[in-house]
Amino acid sequence: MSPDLTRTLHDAVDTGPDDSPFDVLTLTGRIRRRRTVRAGVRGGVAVGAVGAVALGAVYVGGRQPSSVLPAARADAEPGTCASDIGLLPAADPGRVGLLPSTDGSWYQDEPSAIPPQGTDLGTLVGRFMSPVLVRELSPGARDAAVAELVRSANESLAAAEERRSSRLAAPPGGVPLTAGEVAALDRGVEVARQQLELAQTSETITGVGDELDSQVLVTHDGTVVASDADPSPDPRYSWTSSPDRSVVMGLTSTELITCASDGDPGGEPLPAGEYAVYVSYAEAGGRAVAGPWSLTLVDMPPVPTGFPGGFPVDDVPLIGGRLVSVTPAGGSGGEGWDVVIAVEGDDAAREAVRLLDDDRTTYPALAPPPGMTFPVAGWEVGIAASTSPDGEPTVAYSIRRG
Amino acid sequence: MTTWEQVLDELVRARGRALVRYATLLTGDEREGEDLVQDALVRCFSQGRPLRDPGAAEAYVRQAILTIFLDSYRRRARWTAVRHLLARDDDTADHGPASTTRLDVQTALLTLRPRLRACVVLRFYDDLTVPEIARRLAISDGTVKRYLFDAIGQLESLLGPLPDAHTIDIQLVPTGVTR
Repeated sequence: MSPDLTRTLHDAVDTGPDDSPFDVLTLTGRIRRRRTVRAGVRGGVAVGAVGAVALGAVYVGGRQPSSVLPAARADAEPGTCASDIGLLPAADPGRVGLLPSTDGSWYQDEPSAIPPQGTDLGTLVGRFMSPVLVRELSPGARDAAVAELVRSANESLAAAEERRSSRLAAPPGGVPLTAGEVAALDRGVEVARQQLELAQTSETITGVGDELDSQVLVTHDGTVVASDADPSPDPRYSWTSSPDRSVVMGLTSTELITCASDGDPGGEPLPAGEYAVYVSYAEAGGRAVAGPWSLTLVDMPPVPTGFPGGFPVDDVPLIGGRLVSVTPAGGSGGEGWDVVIAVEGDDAAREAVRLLDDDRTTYPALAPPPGMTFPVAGWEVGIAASTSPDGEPTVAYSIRRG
Repeated sequence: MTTWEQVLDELVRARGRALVRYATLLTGDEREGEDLVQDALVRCFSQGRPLRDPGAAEAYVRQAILTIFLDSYRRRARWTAVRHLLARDDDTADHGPASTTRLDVQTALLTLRPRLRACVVLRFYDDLTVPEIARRLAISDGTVKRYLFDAIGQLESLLGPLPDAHTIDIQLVPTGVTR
C-alpha cells in the first residue's frame, strides 16, 4: 500500500509518549544565564551611548548579589550546592591543587609538587575560569595509561603497515605507485614506529580520566555557590604527567554561575566579590576537600563613549572600560580602526572575544592566539591583551574591513 | 516563576517529546534531535522576544530547529552526514509502537540531502505552501519546487507511489520552451 506522506509524518511527530525529554530546571538555568548576559551587554551599550558614568552590577541585571547567590542550607549534602564547605574534611597535605592558567599553559617551580593552598587564582571580569588541576597519579592509573598508550600506538603501527602492504600489492586503479608515493607509505610506517617507541619510553605520559573524581567548588562566605558539576565539554579528563609520573596536570573548566538548589535552577552569573575556590575529591571512605584558593570577580564597566564619527559602534560590541585611544587605520577610518580600552581582569581579552558573539566557543586561554581575527558584521576584529604605558591592563582591538 | 519560564515549562512538558521527534526527522538520530531541540529552546527563550503562548512558542522553536539544523549541517564534516545515510541507530527507533510504514518513511527521509529533507518536513508536516517554504529557507519558489520534485522522486523510488505528495503547486513548469 502506498504510504500517505502527510499522515505518516504527522504520526511520526505527534503520536507517541509525551514524557518530558529534558530537565526543565537545567534548561531554565542555561537560558537565564544567557538572558542575563545579553541584558548586561545591551545595558552596557545603552548606558555608554548616553554618556553615563557608572553602571553597577551589569552582570546581574541590577539585582543585589545577596538575592542572586544560593542561600546556605543546613540540610544540603556536603559538597553540593548551598552546602557548608566545612562539612567536607580537609586533608593535609592535599592530594589535589589548583594553579592559575594564563595562556593555556602554566608554570611551577617543582613539576612533581601539588600546588600549595592559599594562592591567588586571579581577578576575572568574565564568568568563566580555567585553572589547572594538579593531582596525584596512582601507580595503577599510571600503568593503565601507559598500557593504553602502547596499545593505541601498536594499533597505529599495524594500520600503517597494512596500508603500505595493501597499496603495494594492489595500487589504486591498477597504476603502479610512484617513488614518492612509496616513500610516503614508508614514512607513515616509520612515524608510527617512532610513536610506539615514544609511548614505551617517554617520561611524560598523557591520558584521560580522573580516578579522584575531582570537582571544583566555588564558595562565598563558606557556602558552595557554584561548581563544575556539569561542564561540557570537560577537559579535566585529559591530562599530562610530570616527568616522574607522580602527578598529572590538566585544564579545568568552570562557568561562574550560580548552582541549582532547592527548586532554584541557578544559572545566574556570580556577582562581583571575593570568592574561595576548593577542590573536592574522592578519598578512602568518602570525599575530602583541598583549598581554598582565592578568586576575585569584578563587574564589567560601561562601554566607553566618545568614538569619532564613522566608527562602527553598532557593529562591533566592545568591552566596557576606559577608552585609552581610538585611531583610524589608513588615515580616514575607511580601512579600519585601532582601539585600546583599559579594563581590569586577567581575562579581559578573552571576555572581549566572547562579547563579539555569545555563541563563540569558550576556550581556556586568557587571550586569543596572536594573529587570530574574528568576523563581525563585515569587519575582521583582532583582540590582544596589552598594557598601557602607565601599567594599566588594556584590551587592544584591531578592526579592519572584512 | 516568570511568564517565559511558565511557557517553557508547559511547552517542554506537553510538546517536548514531539519536538524531539520532529528534530529527529531531520537529524535521523534521537540524541542529536534532543540536542537540537535544547539548542533551539535556549536560542528562542534567550532572545527576550515575548513568548507568552505555548502554541506560538512551539512554532517559533520548530523554526529555530530547522535553522540550526541547516546551519550546523553546513559546518559538519562530510563523513558525519554520510554516516546517517549508511546506518540507522537502534536508539532512533520511536519509544512507542511504530508502524513499518513510519519507519520506512523516516529511513527514506534520511537518504535525502538536508535541504531536500527540510523541504519535505516543512511541506508535509508543517503544511506550508511553496512560497512559505521559500521565505523560511530564503530561497526562491522555483528552487523549492525543484527540491520537492527531486525529493518526492527519490522517496518514491524507495517507497513506491506517494499520491498525496503530488499537488498542483509543486508541478514544475518547463523553462526555455518557445511557443
